[in-house]
Amino acid sequence: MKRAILVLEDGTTFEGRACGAAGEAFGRCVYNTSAAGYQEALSSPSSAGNVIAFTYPEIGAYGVNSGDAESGRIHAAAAVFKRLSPAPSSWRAEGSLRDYLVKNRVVAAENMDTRAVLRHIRKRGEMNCILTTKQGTAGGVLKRLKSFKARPAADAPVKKEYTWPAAKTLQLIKIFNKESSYIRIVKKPGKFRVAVIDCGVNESFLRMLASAGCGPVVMPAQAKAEQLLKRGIDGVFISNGPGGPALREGVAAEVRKVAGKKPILGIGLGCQILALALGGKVYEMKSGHRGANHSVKNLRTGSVEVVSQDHGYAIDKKSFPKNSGVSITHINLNDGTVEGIEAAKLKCFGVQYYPQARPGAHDAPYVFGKFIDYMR
Amino acid sequence: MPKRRDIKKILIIGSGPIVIGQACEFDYSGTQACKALKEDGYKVALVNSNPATIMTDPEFADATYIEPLTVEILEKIVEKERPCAILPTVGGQTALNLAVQFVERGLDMKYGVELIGADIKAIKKAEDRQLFKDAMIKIGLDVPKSAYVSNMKQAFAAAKKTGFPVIIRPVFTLGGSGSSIAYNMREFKEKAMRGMKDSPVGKALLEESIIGWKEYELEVMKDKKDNVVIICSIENIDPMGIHTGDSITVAPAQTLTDREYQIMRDASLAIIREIGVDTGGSNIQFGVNPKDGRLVVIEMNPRVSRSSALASKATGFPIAKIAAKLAVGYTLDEIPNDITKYTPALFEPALDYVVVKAPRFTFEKFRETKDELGTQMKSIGEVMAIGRTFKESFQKAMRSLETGRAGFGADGKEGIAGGFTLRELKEKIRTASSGRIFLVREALRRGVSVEDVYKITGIDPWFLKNFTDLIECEAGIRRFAASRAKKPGAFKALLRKAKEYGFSDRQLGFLLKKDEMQVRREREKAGIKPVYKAVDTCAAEFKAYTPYLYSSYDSENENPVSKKKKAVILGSGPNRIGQGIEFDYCCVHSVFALREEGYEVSMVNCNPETVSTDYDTSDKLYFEPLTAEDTLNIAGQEGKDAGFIVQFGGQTPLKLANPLYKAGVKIMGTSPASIDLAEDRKKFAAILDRLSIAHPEPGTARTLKEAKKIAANLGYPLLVRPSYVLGGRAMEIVYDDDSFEEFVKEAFIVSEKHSVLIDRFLEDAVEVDVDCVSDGKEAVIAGIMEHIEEAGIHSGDSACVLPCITVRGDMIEKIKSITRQLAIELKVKGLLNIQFAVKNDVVYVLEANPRASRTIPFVSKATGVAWAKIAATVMSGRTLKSLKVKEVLDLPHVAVKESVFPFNKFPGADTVLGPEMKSTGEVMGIDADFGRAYFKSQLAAGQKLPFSGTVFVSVKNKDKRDIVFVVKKLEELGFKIIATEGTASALKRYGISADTVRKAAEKSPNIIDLIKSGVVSLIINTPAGKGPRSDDYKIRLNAIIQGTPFTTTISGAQAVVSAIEAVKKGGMSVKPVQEYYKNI
Repeated sequence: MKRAILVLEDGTTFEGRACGAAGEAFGRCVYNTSAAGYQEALSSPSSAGNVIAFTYPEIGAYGVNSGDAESGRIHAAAAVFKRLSPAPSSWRAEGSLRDYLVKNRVVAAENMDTRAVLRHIRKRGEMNCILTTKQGTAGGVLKRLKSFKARPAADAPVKKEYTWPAAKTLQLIKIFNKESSYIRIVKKPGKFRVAVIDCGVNESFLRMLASAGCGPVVMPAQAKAEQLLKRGIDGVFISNGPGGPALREGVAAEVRKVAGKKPILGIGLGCQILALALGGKVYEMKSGHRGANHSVKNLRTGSVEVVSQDHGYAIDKKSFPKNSGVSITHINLNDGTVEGIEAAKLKCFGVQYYPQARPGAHDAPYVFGKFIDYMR
Repeated sequence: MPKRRDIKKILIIGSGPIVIGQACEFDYSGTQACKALKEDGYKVALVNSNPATIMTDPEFADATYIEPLTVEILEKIVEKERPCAILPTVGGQTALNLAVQFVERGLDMKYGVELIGADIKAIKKAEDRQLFKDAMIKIGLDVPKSAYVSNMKQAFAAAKKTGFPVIIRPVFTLGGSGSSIAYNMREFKEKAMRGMKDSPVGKALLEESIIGWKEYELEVMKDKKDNVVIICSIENIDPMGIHTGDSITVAPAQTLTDREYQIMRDASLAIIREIGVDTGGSNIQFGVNPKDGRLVVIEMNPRVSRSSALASKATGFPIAKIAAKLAVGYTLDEIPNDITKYTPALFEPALDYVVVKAPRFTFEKFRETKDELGTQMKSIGEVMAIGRTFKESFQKAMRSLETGRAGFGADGKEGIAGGFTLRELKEKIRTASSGRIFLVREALRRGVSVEDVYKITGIDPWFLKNFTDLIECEAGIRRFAASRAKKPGAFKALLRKAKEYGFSDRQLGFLLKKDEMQVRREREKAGIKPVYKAVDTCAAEFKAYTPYLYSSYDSENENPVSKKKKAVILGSGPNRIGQGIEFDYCCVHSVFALREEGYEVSMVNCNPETVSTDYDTSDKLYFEPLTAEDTLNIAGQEGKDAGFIVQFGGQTPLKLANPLYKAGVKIMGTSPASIDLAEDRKKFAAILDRLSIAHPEPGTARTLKEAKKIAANLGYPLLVRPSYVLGGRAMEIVYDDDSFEEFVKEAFIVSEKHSVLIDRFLEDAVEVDVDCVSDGKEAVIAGIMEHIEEAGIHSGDSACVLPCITVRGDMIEKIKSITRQLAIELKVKGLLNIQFAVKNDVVYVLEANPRASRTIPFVSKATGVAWAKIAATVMSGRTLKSLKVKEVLDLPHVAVKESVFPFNKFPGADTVLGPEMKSTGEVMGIDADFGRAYFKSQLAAGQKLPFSGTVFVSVKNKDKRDIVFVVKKLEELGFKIIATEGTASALKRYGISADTVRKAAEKSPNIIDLIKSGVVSLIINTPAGKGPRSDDYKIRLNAIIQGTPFTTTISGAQAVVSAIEAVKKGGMSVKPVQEYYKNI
């Protein structure tokens, strides 16, 4: 098996074996601490530009399947594993993770101490990196890495507006009498038309909206306020996406124009964009929240939700102007960072985490319910 | 929500003796609960009959009752203590059942005490299968088809619905005890009948079989504010059909997609809410059809369980401690996570390693039963291993078990497996047995496909593929060893891969045909050494403050090695018969002592059930196998100055003393040379001769020929046993040449490369056990215990009493002086246990063990002195004089230790006691006099002695005269006597009228019919023969089934009579040990 090396911006190097496509990938080195849900993480558009180090050491045990994909392809720049399982075992498996990586031409490596990668990032912060299977020294790779000044660019999301088919709801897997009370598929979909600002939206959000009775109209990130406010639109959904809000400059200004006129829900990056639109500030975290076990406290109810997250930026708690009407609705129980905001008068709110739970726990379905209530 | 202020005093119920299905995990959970509640300022009262627990140490509760766990006794304690609340969820099924009985009798109302942590309705809803099933269907979950039956008519109707195979589960029993599977009508008739009979309420549950499905468990915690978190998911390698306690399991779940896992999580949340669990931990089991993912709920335990102890160790999340805090009103977000300090306990742990748990069996002790696994738990203990990958972890688990294996095969120990044909192998792996996993390996090794093995066993192909990877790696090493061109680079790469795959140096040594130590040297020279990583609940996302470590062949070493004064304590590994909780108790005490002496103490152990592997017991915890390789690696980390302690963990660490010593590791306490002196029969006999101490003439044989020569010299009866084993494994008393040869041969097999010991056997002697502490100059005697059963019955199985009851004063003085003499002679620094036999006014030394003994916890609880702690302090260099340690031999009370046996789990096993130990646990009875203390000990062990009724007496000829006194007494106490012909006529000669009953072999109605009918309330039966053919065997077997109290020795019968007499006249009362200690 071919050698692969992971070189971080500060020169730290990890060695392993190539286990995906051959080549070289440049990206932001991030970690993911979930034990399951690797396919969702790799195929999430939010992962664009990220080299994901999976800390759970046995990845690939259940293979991949079309039902768990968050998009039509792998968006992550590269993947780093401790061990990639040789053969999948699951009644749902349609192929192996290795083949999935190769088919998507994604560079990947195994036999790397991914726990050490995380520990390094925790201490030094997230940084750019190169994962390569090419011959050559780490020094040479580092030189190439240094030539990339900026953060990795995100993929261009959708360019043309389109309507998400109402019938494409969440696909249930019937392993109980019913999947769970988490998903209640509305019989008559398309009741509310929702403009989705696509900053890199996960398919599951669109399916979730469809399942909840909405008809999503997916718009490019460059969509103007007029488009968002056009007739027939009941609410605006600012999607998740890779990187920070700086990558989606201009969106906040349009959102500001919409605020107060239509209910708005922002998720992940979308929540940060909403914060900017409402006069707040966003900063880059030393190391992001990336995993499926984050405890978020709902300050309204006092209860705690276990949710999955994938963000490297956070909203500055104290940055909102006094008259903005914004309140902090959720905080991360571990570090106290902002996880949710709301401007109730404007019917605008957002959460940093992924309430659609692909992957992750089904603790916060009410987010969609609330959005629908606002649109009513 | 802050803690409740309306309750002041809480009574915690412990789980009693170690039995199959309920081991020392409940000492771990109980100890955590005691600590957690005391820390919050509550007064804690505790009841547990098991003296070998940390939780019953007097400082862990304000009032500690070492009393039998019956509702009558519980009432007496509540009456005396007047607690505000009872916490029944940390003492296993025993505590939960006791609490249910307590409430059902209305005693909670009578004394104004509330149950916390679980309410009675929730317990019933979870435990009663029909109520549970209804609840599951109500919330939309699936369950296997089932029906509840209490007679055969209902049973037949139900079987029609479920089809065969059908599972039969008696209602309200321990650890699924009595459960069975019937594959056809013929089996069904017998097993359904037995199932109903085994249930205390006469009910059994018949269930659709989902044998072969994948099995999962989720550990769930809930607080008052309805926050629910999943602590850990566990996947069983052995599929449904094998009790989860007997399955090899893995955490976290490996082969579930996130979608499936989340659905299981949703189901768990719905279940814990529907059942109505107020606060605390629960364990929920699921079955998954591998073909389509269909998910069914199997069962739920609304309490801290064996699995939750495992989950706590696997994740670093202390479930029992948190459960106790939740029970008094805290919520999860108010409790800090101890490991990360700054983040709260309301989270779901993320693992970045793989945990494998493997059960430890002892079928070899019960030859009459088949080595077969099913829905009734049979394993005695377990090990847990942590590795970065499944392969590494699995191999570590296999070598942790101490079953002589160096890992998953590749060690030359295939034994009979290699001799099976392919067809035989395929047939053998169809039925689960204690060694099946190695047969699976052999099948895969010989080319049976993963697909075929999966079809036969139901073991998920993902695990099987990992096994084949290991087999291929092994083949690669063999090829390398056989090839001529040996490139050093290739060797290094191969070695590296093998180590990452978890191969031990011993396995590599076998494959490369090299000595283990040579492999070690070459490996280290090549720079291949393990690193240590932390278990931190969060996959390193936050800084961890508790060094809870495991080794792995990976790149970054996180081990924080300090420059402090250091001690490393080697634990006792998996629980087994002969080496159980007693040794963990001693290890924990040595940790306490050395921490007080200013040492940084590291604990090394692989048993997840124990207090010693709690991350806050020691300063550092190495969760590692106890092998020479793994401990030497730790020595390499901690450095030359770290002192290793091998004295407290039983035979496991003692065996490591020599390899460690030879490698230059510092051994604290008694030197390995002294240990060898005591273990080596010849050298030890020479010392005894020199000091003119009497001892049975010994012999040591290395061959059968030598053994025969010794036998001819010494003459029968002889005691035959292998050296260097604990628990009397393969130990026998032999009376003639034929059996001599048979047993010597077996002893050679058991002793591995060591020798076989042959001693003259002292028949009818009184055995005395002595524990003492010595600092090399002075020896202080901790306790002198008299065995109730005569010599020849393993000391671990014999009941014993402290202080001595029948041994004369001058004999005691002689015993004391010999003990002191030997302690000094052997240069003991720490503990010394000596076994004596007293016969015809001569004191014989049977053996001396310079280490912690099984009786140390019992002696400590009886005397109120923490002897293991003193011993560890002495080992650190302090003198007994400076510690002002005093002997407390004249106790104002009497303590009796009784052993508890697993016979009810091994159908057909002969219950007669002998030199091979068979008990799994112990209880203590303590009271003002022997009779009452003995009565309590019997009650605690599950034997309620009768005050009236019919006694059946049948004794061998030799005992006929000795039994007279006993039977006379029983007659005076108002018992009716019945006896077999021989015994009856002997009794008549002494003026006792006994009705004659027919022997078991004679026609009905015979004694067996009488026992079955429940007419007999006490049995005195000293065996004339062993084995399934004898009459006595049938009597004992039926007594077990019927639950009739019985005794198989004359001395036992004498004790029984004095117990009945004492309690019949004086009644029973309870008193906390703290009060007993005040009077010493």
